[in-house]
Amino acid sequence: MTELISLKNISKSFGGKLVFCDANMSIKTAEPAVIMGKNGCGKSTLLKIIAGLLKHTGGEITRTPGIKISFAPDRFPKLPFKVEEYMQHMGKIQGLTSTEIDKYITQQFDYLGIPANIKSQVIYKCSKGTIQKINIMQAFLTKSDLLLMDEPFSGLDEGSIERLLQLLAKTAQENTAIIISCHEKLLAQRFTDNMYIFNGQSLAKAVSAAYRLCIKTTAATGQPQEIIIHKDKLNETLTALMQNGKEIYSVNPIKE
Amino acid sequence: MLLPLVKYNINYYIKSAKYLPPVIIFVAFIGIMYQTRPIGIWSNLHVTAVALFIFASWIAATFVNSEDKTQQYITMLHVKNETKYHLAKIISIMMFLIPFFVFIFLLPAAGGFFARNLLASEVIVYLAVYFLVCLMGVGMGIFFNSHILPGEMGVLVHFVAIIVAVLPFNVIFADIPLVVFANHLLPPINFLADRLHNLGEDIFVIDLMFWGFVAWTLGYALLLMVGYCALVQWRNKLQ
Repeated sequence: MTELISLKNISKSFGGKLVFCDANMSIKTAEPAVIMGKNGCGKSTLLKIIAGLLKHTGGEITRTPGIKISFAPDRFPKLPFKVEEYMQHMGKIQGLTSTEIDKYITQQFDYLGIPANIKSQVIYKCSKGTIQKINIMQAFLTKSDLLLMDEPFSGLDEGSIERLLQLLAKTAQENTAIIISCHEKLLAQRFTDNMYIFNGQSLAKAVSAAYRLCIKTTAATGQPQEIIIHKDKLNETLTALMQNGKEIYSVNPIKE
Repeated sequence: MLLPLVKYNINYYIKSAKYLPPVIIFVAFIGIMYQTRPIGIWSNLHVTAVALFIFASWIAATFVNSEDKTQQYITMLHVKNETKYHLAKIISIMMFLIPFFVFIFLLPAAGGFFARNLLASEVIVYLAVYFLVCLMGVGMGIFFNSHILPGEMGVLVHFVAIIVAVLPFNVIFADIPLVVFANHLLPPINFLADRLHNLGEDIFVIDLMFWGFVAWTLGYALLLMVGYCALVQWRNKLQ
């Protein structure tokens, strides 16, 4: 895992009004993360700051120079272009050829379940779900180092959500850092357990009671040791420790 | 990468239909103006140059505001360089305007509207002046717009800036040295208009004064464009 961007005590104010503060994040490849919080807490603003589209008011951001960033906003605009026309424009700006873009459109239409006739439909006439799929398509147009998606599951049907989760998992395995913002906790937990939550105006890393347990055991030195593990790894970890002759003192869930 | 971006910008602008009011008014003005023939070579250049300046400024102001704000973010990230994004916008506006200034030159020249045929040097002067006033108009239009000054304030300041640029203050206030001096700080449109207006049917001499005008206009327009690129990036990030 390579650290791409580091945020230290980032704060943002608009016209003197504080939106959030104390945002600390380390954005790494192959370590997807989710940002959660109430409406208006600053999730979209934080994503734009990470993308370099907005300037933070306080704190420090360290970026690896030259990283490629893709961004899918929460509300994709209702544009006057036809779907295929728009994708051709964005693809050519990125240096792709017409043939490559056509192939990409066909593949993504098939994968995301978009009917072929939508290619020649003007974007502002498309349904909310279709516009969201176009939003996703433009974000995945070329391989990027960092993918930022604001509420990517919004407006999608169940089948499309599944496919998007699979696509995100595959992209993370290809060494792309991914940050998404999400309202739906269960969906977020399916994507990653690396979660950040806005508590009031501060951003904090979340530890979920549903997913982490604590085991007290003796380490090689004979001293008690605390280990935090994912719930799904509990059985295999307990088995391995007992086979190695370790004594387990307690197994306790960690409260959020 | 710039060519696909320029094509995208022009395509977007055409689809937005924001070009319609300035184009309709400009074409109507030119059509009405050319009803009276024959027309004087330099008086025609004087009037059409000022009209083209105002038209270019109007087109530029509507062009930069045509793209949806969220889409601007998406496009900037696809371009991977915000300065290139804004530079491409300026190039796109100039590419959009070129057919118009070629049209308003060819129409009287090819249509025989002038009192006599143009000399080669006069053709050069015509095209150079049209290009320069377009550039100047684009500089004014992108600098004084809602990207830099939000809401109605941007529109008002833009309108005032255009009026101040085209009015011959050095003639109206010829007895006030401070105004005459301050006039030199304005875009050199009224300077050009004044020189052309006083030529009558004399030959326009491509002399040091002409090159001075070229340099002055180019420098002024580039300053406004660079200022725009810097200010809009600063302002965008503060929002």
